Amino acid sequence: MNAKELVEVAERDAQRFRDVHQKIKTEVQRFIVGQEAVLDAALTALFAGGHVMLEGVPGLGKTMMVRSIGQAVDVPFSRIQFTPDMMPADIQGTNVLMETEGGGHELQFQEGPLVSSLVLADEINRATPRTQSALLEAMQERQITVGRRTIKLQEPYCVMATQNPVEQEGTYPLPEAQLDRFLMKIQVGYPEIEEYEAIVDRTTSGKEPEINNVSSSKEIMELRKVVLSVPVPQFAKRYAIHLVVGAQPGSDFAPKIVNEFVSLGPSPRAVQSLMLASKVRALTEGRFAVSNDDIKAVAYDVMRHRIIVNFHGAADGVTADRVIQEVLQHVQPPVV
Amino acid sequence: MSETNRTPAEVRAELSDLARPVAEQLRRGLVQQETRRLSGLAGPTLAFPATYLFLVVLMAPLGIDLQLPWLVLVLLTVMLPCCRVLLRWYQAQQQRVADAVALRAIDSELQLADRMATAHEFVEVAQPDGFQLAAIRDAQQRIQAAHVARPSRPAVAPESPRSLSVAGLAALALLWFASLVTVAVPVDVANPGGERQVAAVAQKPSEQPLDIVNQPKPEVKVAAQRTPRQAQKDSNSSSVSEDETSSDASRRGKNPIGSGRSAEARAAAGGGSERGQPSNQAQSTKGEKSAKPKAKKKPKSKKDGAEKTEDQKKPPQESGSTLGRGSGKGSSKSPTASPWSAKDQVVSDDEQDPEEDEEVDDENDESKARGGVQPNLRQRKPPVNRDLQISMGSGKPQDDANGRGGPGGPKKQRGVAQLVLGVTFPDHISAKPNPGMSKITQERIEPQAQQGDSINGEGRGARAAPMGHLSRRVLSPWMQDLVRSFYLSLREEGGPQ
Repeated sequence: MNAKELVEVAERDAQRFRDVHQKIKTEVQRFIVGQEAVLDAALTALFAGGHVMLEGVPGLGKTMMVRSIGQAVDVPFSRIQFTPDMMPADIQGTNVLMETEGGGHELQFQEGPLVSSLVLADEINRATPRTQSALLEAMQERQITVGRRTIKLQEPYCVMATQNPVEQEGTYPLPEAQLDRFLMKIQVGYPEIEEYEAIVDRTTSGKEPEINNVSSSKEIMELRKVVLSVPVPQFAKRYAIHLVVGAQPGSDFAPKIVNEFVSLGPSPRAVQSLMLASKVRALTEGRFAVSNDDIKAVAYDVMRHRIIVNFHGAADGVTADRVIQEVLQHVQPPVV
Repeated sequence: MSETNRTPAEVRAELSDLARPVAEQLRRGLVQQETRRLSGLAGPTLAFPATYLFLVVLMAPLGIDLQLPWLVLVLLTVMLPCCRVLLRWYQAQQQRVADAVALRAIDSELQLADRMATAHEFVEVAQPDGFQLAAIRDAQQRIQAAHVARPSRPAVAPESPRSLSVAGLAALALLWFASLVTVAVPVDVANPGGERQVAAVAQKPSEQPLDIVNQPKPEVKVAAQRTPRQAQKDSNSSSVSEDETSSDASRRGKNPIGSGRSAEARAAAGGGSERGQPSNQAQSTKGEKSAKPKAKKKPKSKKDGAEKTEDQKKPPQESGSTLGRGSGKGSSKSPTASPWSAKDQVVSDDEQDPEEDEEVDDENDESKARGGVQPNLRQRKPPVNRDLQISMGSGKPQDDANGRGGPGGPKKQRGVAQLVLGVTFPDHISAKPNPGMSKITQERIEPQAQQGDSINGEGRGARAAPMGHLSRRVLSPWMQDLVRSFYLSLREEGGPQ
């Protein structure tokens, strides 16, 4: 294949990615009003092969958005409502005593809702750490182990979790190891004032729009390969690394606020996540390579849940977003 | 060849053409920025004045005059910042802005999202993949537009010279302080009796020229401002000083200027003098009062300085002298006197050399003649610590103990403390209140056979003694009949007999 053909294939793949991305977005927006940035971030996680955490107060349509994405993509979808009394076997699956045709009994494994492609983990912080930890293997290894049985999960596998930031009583905050497995953490805010009218019309008129399947799991997997083939220039790679290292206390690139108020910085997994999310953004922006602007754009969503503010920072009202803002201002793109 | 089908080498050349003028523009801006940056010049501006002041203060006690003309000082002060500016300019001239940096600037100015810089990197790849070629092609389509809309770097405005002006003022202040030091110190070195000159300089520093040191007879000028009584006193002390300098030069080595005086001299000084301070017989004027601190800082010879450092190394001892306290009982605490008064307390007549006694008498006379200003500083060692408490002989003897009351060694107390038993004896025994640990000793003893009386067994026989009283329950008649009939029927059936 000569250079011209290579360019044509790349341009065709990139164009296909943009088309599918736009179709899914349009289909979901038939039901979800506004929240375009949230929808973009959720689709970024879907195409980048990661998981996403949606955090927002109740009533903002988080669950509805994830359900709509599941309907638009046409992948096996399951919803888990996390409760404090939920056990790992409730989501992973367990052996159930079943009656056979001959009148006998046997133990059969019944899969839990985690065995799916698009999993909505609703109010994930209401479950105990024991149940939350059951997600670790599924999110990272894409498999579930119950007893001696290991189940490979079907790709594309994506966990979209929601949690409520204000109602903390009776909840169990996710441990850092679990948070790190989410590619992005998106903060869902209130819709714009002009969007409220459309929300009322669509949800209270008795005419709920139907969401059609505009993509498939196979197409999602193909587009994931396209995302992985987006090249990253050396300067952008270094900039991403400097940003992540700059958010680690005690590093050479860390600003003062990081050294004073951050107890735990992002891990190397954050660099991977920055790269993947930046690749998706570069494709959606119509470019063929990652730029520093892409890294800056996804830095908040990628690094927000990977920065743990210490006690003094929490007392002074320092948030992870403020830390990231300072890091972005402090760390300059490398010259070459 | 169409515009979008160029080879990577051609694209590289186009990118270089695009980057070259911008790189040159960036280099010029860098030179301009470096040469106009004034904030970094404050340090070099202050470097020479600070160093000059330090050296002047350091060399003044040694008698080395580092005084320079003001023109030279200002030139040397300005020289370092100018060198710094020239160095910056040279470095900025030598610096070369890379094409990648220039292309990044173009991307930033034209909001191209790093397309040019990305293409510049990808054209260097040996075998680019499809997306890299697509990125190069994407940038190639925008090169012409970038040529048209080339960014123009705004001229760098000079910084506010506030820091530099502050540094300049500070440099002038440092130089002025240095000039003050150069004036004041050599006066004391050149003229031992120049206290009044220093006082005059201190009163009107701005009116004194810098070469006041070299004036031949400043005493005349200053003495005209004094009262006749002060002049008389000054003449007396100057005569004493002249005698001292001529005949007692070696003795002055032992008695450094500015030290204390003897107790007799203190007593002769009258009640107006403060304790521990040398007194003047005449009332001093305001100018003299101001001159006193300067006189204390009068530079001394190296020998005097060495003695002073030795005295300073000694640990300070609490003064137990009753001088000036009006108490004749003596101190119960360690009586260490001031250096000149300690001589009378410590040194005995037997141990003193007769020649030294004469010298001491001469010095006392001289001290009286000087009005107590020049103290007798012979044997400035502090007296031994005569602790009158019972030391039990555990104290470490001092090096300067003369065997007449110093601590350590044998008991040397006086008075009531002498009567107290000074021998240590234990008043208790260290032991534990419990019985202590018990000791268990095991002995291995072989068993020994013993003879015992054997007893044969025999039958006990029937009971012969009465059984005693047995209670018998009286049954009712119907119950007796019931029991008799029960056993009768049981016998009839062949039951148990």
